[in-house]
Amino acid sequence: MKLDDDALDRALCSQPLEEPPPDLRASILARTAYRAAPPFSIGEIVAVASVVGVVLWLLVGMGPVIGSAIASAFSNVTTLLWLAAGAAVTFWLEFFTSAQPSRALARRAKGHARP
Amino acid sequence: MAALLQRVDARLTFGPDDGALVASAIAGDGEAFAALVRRYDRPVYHLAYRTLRDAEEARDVAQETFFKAYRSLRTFRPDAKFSTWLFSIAYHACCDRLNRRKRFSGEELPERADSTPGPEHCVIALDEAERLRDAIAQLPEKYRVVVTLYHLQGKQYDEIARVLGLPMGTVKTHLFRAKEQLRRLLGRSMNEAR
Repeated sequence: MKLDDDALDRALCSQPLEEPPPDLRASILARTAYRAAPPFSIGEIVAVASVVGVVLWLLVGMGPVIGSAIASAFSNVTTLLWLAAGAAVTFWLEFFTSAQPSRALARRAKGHARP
Repeated sequence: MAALLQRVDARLTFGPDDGALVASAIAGDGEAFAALVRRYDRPVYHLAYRTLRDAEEARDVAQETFFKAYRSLRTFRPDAKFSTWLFSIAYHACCDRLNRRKRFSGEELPERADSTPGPEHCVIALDEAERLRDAIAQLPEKYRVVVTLYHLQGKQYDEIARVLGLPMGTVKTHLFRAKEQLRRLLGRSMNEAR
């Protein structure tokens, strides 16, 4: 091998490139250009995460407020009276009026209905 | 010489130019990036193998290089040369691995770096190309990488300097010294072969 500058340049530039492993190209392509598309787009993930975040924030931030509102409502005598009145009316309509829809249905089912 | 360099360049740039392929890949054309992979996987592997002298690590670096390039394709400046950008990513990945080796072993390169027999064992059987390849493998890392990029990029010192992040004068000096060492190594191996 002649060792002058041009010969060395020629030898360097005509060096064959190393042969890469046979599956290198396939593995690169599988990780880049041909990789499977993700099931959700980034926009969708961001939107869902934002909604979940807002809901959690509301639950954590407003939870005590809602709880105290319910507690104060049930500690009010007027509210309790109105609830009791509503329950009594429901009970009366259900058992002591002529309509008695649920009792009548139950009797018919058992064969006690009048002909 | 010029014809040889053109041949090397043509081997790397057959088909649509890199800029057009990069633009298509950014627009979402996977096939365009696949064409870039097909064009540059061998040169990138070659650079990694020559720098690290370890086939497994060279393979990892080649994969890492294209993965990083794919993820940061939007940061590629259209006025830059794609091969320079890609080789730069590959070279920095190699540097990371060399630094890790130094940290663990305290040496520049470990013994396991090259599993093929060294030139001292089979110098008589080697032909000229193999002698040259082994001589390159014996160069210090900083010279070896300059010679490898000289081979891949042709006589474009500015591109080599950009890949390595070195002044162009330093690249020329490294190349000059690398050639001096190569001449010495080749001369020695020829004397041993006689």
